[in-house]
Amino acid sequence: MTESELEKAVREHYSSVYGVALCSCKNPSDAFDIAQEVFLKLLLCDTSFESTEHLKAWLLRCAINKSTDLLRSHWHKFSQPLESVSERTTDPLEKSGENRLIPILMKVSRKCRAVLYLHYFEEYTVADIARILCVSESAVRARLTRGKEQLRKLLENERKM
Amino acid sequence: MEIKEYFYRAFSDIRKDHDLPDDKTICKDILERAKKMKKCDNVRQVKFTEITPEYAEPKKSHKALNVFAGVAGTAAVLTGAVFGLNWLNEHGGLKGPDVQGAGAGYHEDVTEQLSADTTENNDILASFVYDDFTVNVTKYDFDGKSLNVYYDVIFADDCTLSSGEKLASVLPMAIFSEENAAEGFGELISETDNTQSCIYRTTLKAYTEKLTVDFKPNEEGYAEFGGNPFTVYADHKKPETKEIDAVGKAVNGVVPMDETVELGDCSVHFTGYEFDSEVVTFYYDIIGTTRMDIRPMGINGAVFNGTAGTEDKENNMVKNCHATVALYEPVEIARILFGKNLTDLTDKSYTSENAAFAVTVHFDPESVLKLDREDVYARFNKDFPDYVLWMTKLLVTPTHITERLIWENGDQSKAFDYFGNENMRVMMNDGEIKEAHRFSIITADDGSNIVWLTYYFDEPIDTAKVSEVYFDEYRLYGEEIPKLSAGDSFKLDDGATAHIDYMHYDGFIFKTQITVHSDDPDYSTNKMKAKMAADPDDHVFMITGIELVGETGTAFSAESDDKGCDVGYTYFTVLPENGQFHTGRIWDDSSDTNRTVGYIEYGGIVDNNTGYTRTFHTESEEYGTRDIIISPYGFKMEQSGSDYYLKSLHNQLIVVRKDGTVWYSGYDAAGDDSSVDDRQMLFGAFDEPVDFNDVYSLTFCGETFVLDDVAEAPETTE
Repeated sequence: MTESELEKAVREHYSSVYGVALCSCKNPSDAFDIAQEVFLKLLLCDTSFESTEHLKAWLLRCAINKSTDLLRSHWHKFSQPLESVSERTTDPLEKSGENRLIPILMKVSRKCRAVLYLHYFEEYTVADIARILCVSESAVRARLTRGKEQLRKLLENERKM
Repeated sequence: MEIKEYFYRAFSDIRKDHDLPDDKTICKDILERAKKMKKCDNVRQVKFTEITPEYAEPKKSHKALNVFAGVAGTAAVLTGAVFGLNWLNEHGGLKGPDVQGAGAGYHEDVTEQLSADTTENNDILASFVYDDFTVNVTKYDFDGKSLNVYYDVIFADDCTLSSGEKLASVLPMAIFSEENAAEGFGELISETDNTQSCIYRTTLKAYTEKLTVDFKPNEEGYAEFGGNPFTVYADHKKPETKEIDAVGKAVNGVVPMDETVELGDCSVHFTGYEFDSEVVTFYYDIIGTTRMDIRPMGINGAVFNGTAGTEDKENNMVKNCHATVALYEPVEIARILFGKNLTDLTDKSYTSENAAFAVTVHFDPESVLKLDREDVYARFNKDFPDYVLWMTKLLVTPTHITERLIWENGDQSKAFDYFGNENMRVMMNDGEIKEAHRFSIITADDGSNIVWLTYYFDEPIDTAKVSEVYFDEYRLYGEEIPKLSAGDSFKLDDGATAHIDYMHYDGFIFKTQITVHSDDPDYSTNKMKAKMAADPDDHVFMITGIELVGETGTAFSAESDDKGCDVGYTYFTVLPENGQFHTGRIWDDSSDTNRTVGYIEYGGIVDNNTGYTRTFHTESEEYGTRDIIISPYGFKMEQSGSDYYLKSLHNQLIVVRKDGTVWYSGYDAAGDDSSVDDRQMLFGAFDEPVDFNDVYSLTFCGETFVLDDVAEAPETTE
C-alpha cells in the first residue's frame, strides 16, 4: 500500500475505526492506539480489497479483533476497571464535556455496543455485521435487541437524573 | 431521542470531541512506526500438543446450596435481657434509678407468684420505679406458648422529657424467661400515645407449663439492677395438634375448603388449596388478629416458601392469605404442619411438637397436566455460563406451572433474573398462547440443589387442551407433534415442501439441513422481498427452521431454475454436553405464523466417540495461547482476536491424507458462543466430514497439526 492510499484510507475510515474501537474497549487512549495499529497493519499487509466497503469492513473487523486482544491481555486484566475510572472527573470521556452520550453507551454490555454502533452509526445490515464479526445473524439480532433494551433503560435513567 | 439519532449525535463529532490528530499526523506516525519495524517472517511453525480427553459421563454437581426460601417476618431470638431504654440513654433524657437506694431495687412490692387468672390481675401486679417514670404491670395472660404483659408507664411530674421522648421511652421492653430464654422472643404489639399503656408479647418456641418473668433494663446502663422475678402458670393445658383432612374435587385446579381452626385468641379459616403433587398453596384468612403469624412449617419433608396476606384492621383480621410449600418427593397425600407465633418456620429444630395444627391435602391427578419424566428433561444455561439448570419435572395445572430444577454450580442471581424476567407459555390446541406470569422460587434447605419454580396464569386454563409448553426458547412439552427424521418431508403453510436432508452428529457437532422446494422459480425472490418490506434489516428469510440447544450457526442458500426454487438451510451447534439427548422444535414461518410442524431428537451418545474430538493447544507470540477443538463435522476455537480468518486461505480446512492427497474443506458458516462472556468462541461446520484415521495432518487457520507424527510426511498431491 502506498502512502497516498494510506492517507485516503485514514481520511475515509479513521473515524469509523476509532469509533468501533472506542465502543469495544471503552477507553479513548486505547481506541487511539488500536486505530493506529489497524492502519499500520493495513500499510503492511498484502491484502487486495475489492471495494471501499470491503476495505472498511476489513478495518472494522481488525479494530474489533485488536480490541478483543487488548481486553484479554494480561496488562488489561490487571488494570483498573473503567467503572471506577468513570466515576473520576478526570475520565477522558467526561473531560470532553461536549459529548455526554458516549459514556452512557459504555454502560451497555461490550458485545452489544459494537453491534449497536455498526448498525446505527455505520448503518450496516444485520447480515453485514454478522460477516464482520464472524457470528451468526441470529446472534447479531439478539445483541441488537439486548443492546437497544439496555440503552433505552440507560437513557431513561439519565433523563430521570 | 431515537437510538439512531443518539448514535449520530454521539459519534458524528467524535474526532473533534476527543481531540484526535489530523489525518496527516496520523499517517506520519504510522509510517514512522512502520519504518522502525523489522520485517517479519510470516511463516509460522506451531508445535502442537494433542489432548484428547477420555469420554466420561456428565457429572452433576452435588454442591450444597444455602437456603434461599425465607420466612416473612422472621424475628431474632432474644437470648438475653433487653429493656427498651436505649433511645433515652443515648439522648441523655433519662435519669436512672437511685443506685444507692435501699437494696438498689428499681421496683418494689413485686408479687413473686401471680395467678394465671387474668380476670383477677387487673390491679398493679408489679412496679418498676425510676426517677423519671414508673412502669406498672397491670395484667398478663399466658397460654403456655404466648405471654402478653400489659403495663403502664407513668411519668413523674418533674419529668423533663419531651412528649416525643416520653413516647420513645416505652419502646420495646422485652421480657424473657430464665428457663426458656433462648427460645422466646418479644415485641411491643400495642401502645397508646398519651397514657403510655402497652402490651408486650413474648412467644415461646415450645409449650411450657410455667414461665418465670423478669423485667430488666438494658445492660449498658442498668445491668446492676436486679428485680424480683415472678412466675406465671399456663391457663391452658398443652393442646393436641388439630387435624384437618381436606378432601375434595379440584375446581379449576383449586380444591375448595371451608374449615375453621380455633386457636384461642384467633382462628384460621381455610378457603382452599392447590396441590400438584409437589407444591401446595393454601388459601386462608386469619380472624381475630392482624398479625400474619399462622404459617406452614418447613419440616417433615416440606420446604416452606412464604406467606402473604392483606391486613384488615377494621375487621381485625388478615384476609386472603396464601402460603406455599414444596415437597421433596411427589406424593398423593401430604400432611402439612402449621405453626403459630414461631420465629422461623424453616428452622429444622422445630418438630411436630411445635405445630399448632395440621392440614392433610390430597392430589387430584385429573386437574394436572403432568410430565413425569425424572430424567433430564431440559438443560438451561443461556446467559449464565458458569452453571446450568436441569429440569427434572414439569407440572401444568389449571392455575399454575411448577418446574423442578437441579442446580449445577455457580452464582444463582443471574438465573433468578432470568427466570424472573421470562414467562412460561403454553400453546392451546387452537393455537392460542397463554402466559403464566407470577413466579415464586423455593430452594431446598436440605443441602441438595433442588429448586422449584412456580408460574401462575391470569385465569385458569383447560389443561386437557394444552398442546405445547415453552420457557423462553426452550420447548418443554408437545408430545403430540410428529417426530421427524432425516429423509422426512413436511408441507409448509404457503404450499412449499420442506425436506430434512440429513442429520449428522459426531459426538461434538450436530449438523442438519432442510431444503424447501417450491415449483415457483421466483419463490426465494418473493420471500426475500416480503421480508425486506416488513423489516429492511432482515436479509435472511427463515421459511422454516429448527430450534437447537445453545448458540447455533446457520447457513443459507437459494437456487432457482425453470423447475422451481430450492432454499437450503444448514443448522449446526456444538452440543453443550456429549451424551445428552435434545429435542428441537421444527417450525414453519412461511406465512408468519411460526407454526410447529414437528420435532427432532438429536445428540445422545455416539459409538466410539472417544478419540473423535481432537483438541489442539497452540502457542505463539503473535496469537497467544488457545485451544482448537476439531471433530469430524466441525470445530470450536477461541477467537484469537487476530484477523487471520479474514483471509480466504485460512477460511479452509486443509487435510493431508496419509497417502499424500490433499483435500480442502470450507466451513458452512460460523457462529459464536456468547455463553462464554469474556471470550469469543468461534465454531463452524465443515463442508464434509474428516476421517481422522486417514489423516496425516490438518491445516486450519494457518496452522498445521500433524496427527500421525510417527509416519514421514507424505508427498502431497492435489
